[in-house]
Amino acid sequence: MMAVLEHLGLGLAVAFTLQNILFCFIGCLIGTLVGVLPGVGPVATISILLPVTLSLDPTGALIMLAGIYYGAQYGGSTTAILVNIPGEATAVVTAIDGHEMAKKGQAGLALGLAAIGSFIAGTVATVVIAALATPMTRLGLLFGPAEYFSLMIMGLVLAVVLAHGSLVKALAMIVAGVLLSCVGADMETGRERMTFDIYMLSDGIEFTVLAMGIFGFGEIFKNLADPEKRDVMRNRIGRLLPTLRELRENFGAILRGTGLGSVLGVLPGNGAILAPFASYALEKRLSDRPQDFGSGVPQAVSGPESANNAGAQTSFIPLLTLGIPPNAVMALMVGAMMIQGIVPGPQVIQNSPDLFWGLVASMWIGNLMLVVINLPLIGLWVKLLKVPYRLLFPAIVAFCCIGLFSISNDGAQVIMAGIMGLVGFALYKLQFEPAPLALGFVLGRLLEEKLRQALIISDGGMGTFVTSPLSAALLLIALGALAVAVLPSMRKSREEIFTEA
Amino acid sequence: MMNYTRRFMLGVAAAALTLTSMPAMAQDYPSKPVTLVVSYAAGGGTDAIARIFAARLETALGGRVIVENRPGAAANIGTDVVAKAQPDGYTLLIGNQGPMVVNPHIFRLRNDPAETLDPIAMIADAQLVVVAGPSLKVDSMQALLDKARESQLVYGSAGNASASHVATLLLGQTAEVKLKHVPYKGAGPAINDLLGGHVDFMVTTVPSVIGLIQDGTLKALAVTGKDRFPGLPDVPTVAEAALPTYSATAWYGLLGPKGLPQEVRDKLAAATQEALADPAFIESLNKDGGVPSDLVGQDFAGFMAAERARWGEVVKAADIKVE
Amino acid sequence: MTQGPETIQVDLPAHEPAQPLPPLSSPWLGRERLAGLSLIGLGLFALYASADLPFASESGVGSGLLPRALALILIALGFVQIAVTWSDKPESTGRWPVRDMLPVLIGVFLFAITIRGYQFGTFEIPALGMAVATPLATFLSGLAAKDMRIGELVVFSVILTVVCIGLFRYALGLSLPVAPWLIGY
Repeated sequence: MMAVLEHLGLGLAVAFTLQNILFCFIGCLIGTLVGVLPGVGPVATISILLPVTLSLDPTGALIMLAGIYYGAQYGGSTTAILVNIPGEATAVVTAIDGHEMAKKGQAGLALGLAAIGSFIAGTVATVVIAALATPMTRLGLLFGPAEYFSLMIMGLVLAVVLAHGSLVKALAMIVAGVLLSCVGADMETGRERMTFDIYMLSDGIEFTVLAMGIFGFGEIFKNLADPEKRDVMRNRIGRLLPTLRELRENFGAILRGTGLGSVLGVLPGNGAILAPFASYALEKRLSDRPQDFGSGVPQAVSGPESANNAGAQTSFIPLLTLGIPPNAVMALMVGAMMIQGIVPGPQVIQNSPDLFWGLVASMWIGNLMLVVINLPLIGLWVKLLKVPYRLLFPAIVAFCCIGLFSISNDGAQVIMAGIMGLVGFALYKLQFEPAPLALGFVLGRLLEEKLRQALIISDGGMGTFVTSPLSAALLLIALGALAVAVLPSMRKSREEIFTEA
Repeated sequence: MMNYTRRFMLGVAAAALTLTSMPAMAQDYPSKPVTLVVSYAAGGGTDAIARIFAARLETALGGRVIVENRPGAAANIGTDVVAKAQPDGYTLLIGNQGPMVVNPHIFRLRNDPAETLDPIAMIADAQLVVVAGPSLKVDSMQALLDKARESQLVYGSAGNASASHVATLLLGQTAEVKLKHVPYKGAGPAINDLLGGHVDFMVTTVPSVIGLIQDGTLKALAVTGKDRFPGLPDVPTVAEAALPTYSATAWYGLLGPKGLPQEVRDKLAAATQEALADPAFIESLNKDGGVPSDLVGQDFAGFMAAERARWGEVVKAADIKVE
Repeated sequence: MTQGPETIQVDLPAHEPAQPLPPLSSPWLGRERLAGLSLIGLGLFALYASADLPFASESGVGSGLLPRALALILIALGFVQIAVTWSDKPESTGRWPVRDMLPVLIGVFLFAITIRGYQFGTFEIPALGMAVATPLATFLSGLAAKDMRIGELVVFSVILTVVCIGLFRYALGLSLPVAPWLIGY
């Protein structure tokens, strides 16, 4: 423990120079901006800035790029809460109850809880990285294809818990999500599936296109169809910051979210995606009013947001200890390190301790910056909702169009999102929930990929999923969670049938 | 509304004007920004090289160079975009091994790079490295092949038809051993499973594993090029260690639409050579496992044709054709 | 009930007091049953779309296995959905004001085909860049609002375009075409 403090002390000394604080601030600011803008993600921003960082000193450059990353994670939640457009998979959960809160006039509270939860999560995750980086690394390596597959199954079961309406419809949405994720070239053989020779489908549907279409455009269509509903929220703003009591009520959710996020963040192949979903499911299970989840429960925002942020941060662990990037942003960080002449890998801690600990410490400073940047901004964001809707939604359409186009410089993606918007509207009319669809879509890809990898390795033997103890345990948890989710509703519907009869 | 329509019509008229005046004087080249198309999303290895190269090219050409990512369809979309562009030198492609010489054997392409693109100059040649996982306990290339003959080994790759995949296919075919392929999405997750012992070995790009090699976590058995890699001087080539005829590298080059004016081609080739002479650029290439190339024009075209024939046989023998 | 009361509803301006929806002409048009039918439809479509894919591969899971399995599950869920809501009172899905959404869809479509240009056979739209595509999308989608004011919308579209170009192109450095016909990129 002493060593941890000593290391963090060294790191703080490095990070607390005027220059590095400035870099951290710039990074967080840019990150918040690209996070808020729908469609523009940290990946594009960092790759554009990469050549610029060449002229900076390595520590400063990495601190700034890291700031962009978690700044964007945070900024994405703002858009999810305010206008129901989750720019990244991790913000889908935040959008569910966060946007409902905004509709109820609690946008300030939702944003404030997200900021504070993220800060607490960031603080804890910084300590986790400093103290437990090495053992956490080993945890990540335990997850081979079979274990990962079982984890995804567990994730899909959690998606059932996400739904607050009909169980059958929620299941159908998950299955439809997985089905949509199958569109595109098969990763094992390269064969195109269900693409109808449409070029842009050959790499599958972009998540951003799906999310901005179904959530973003769908929401606009919904509001145009039922103008009465959206006007209700415009007139109420509510408090900007949570009260002490509200903070206390959310503290447990924040800590649990942080724990889940910290663990799932180290998994390879972007396991951090699961963190907010797991947190939502957990909070719903622990809550004494689970029926309210989905209609604007603060814990359903603070928990997943904390999980999201903690996961974003601990996903640095495989990068720092092994040099393996768990997601696209981390891959760019590898590039940034290489440009600076630092070889990412286990020896970074020994060879450049000031860089390593400086970066770790800067994460905490960065989280502080985010609070500093974003708390005052909450007022501004909330005022943004005061803009008459007749001007707000054309602006959203324009931003979405530009963001969608920038994904691959292809107008077809924009049209695709427009069509997805109609799908989103149809889902709303038929009372299907889009969140399980999005989760099924995200996890579906990993699910099939890991299934096939596991079966190639095991020569097609399904036994591989139960012979590994970790995999078997995960499957058991999934089975248990499924039983817990399905049984009460089955009992309920049977009761209903009996009372009606 | 009137106001708006007029603006729109003005725009259309202006655009039409620019289009008709398209065949700009080649000697003025470049008189407007040059677009450098990258067939991958921002953030990949090719994208990184393209962005560093674009900055150098800008200096050498004396005009703006804008990197544009057109990812998709196994990097074939980028090829199409450039193949269909005006051959005026304002739309260029960073072409690499996969889409240029491997994909034509695997996919039904809309535009064959050999027929629709003009090779201008090669930029770099990048080595791959053969690494064994900690659980395999082999310390030489020969030992790896011996082990593969005893029992089938499983290798990970960065994806179907990736450089990492085809280089391993060639390895198996040259050594006449059967290997089991597990495709991943990118090198990162594959290396993770290599470290965890879920796959036995892999052939991957130098930067993806150099830290783990230097640390001793992963054993570098050989590099895949004709010569040793300066960054790993103690690691033999595959040819030295076991298979004398083996060589496989990933490479990057500059191409344009078929029919570029000779003057523009010469100007671009010279600018590329100038960019490649910059020690800072060479250094960043080295870090990516690459060495600068001096192949220009016809020599580059000849190299591409030879590569295409070679990988065609590998792909055919492995039967990985799609449809 | 054959004259299609739904279509009349579609054309009603939204700010008029919502009229009670007419009774459904068939219980199959009720929301829950329609949901079940859509699931079955989607499943059948997926079966059709994946009909040419092989079942088996090296891993034992061919490219066609998962899509078809999922499609079948979806169809089954569709039937379950219809069955469990069979005795529910059919509820209408309400109005589908497609005409109100049309401006937005057209705006999005025009943005997509003008920003980099598009070719329909021999007819070609040149690349007009953000300078044209952004105000087009903003203005057209703004027309969808019932309380739209044309002057305000025009001014807003222009301001927003300037902001967007400054933000995306210059502040963030994304390589988006601004006005290729005017400044070359």
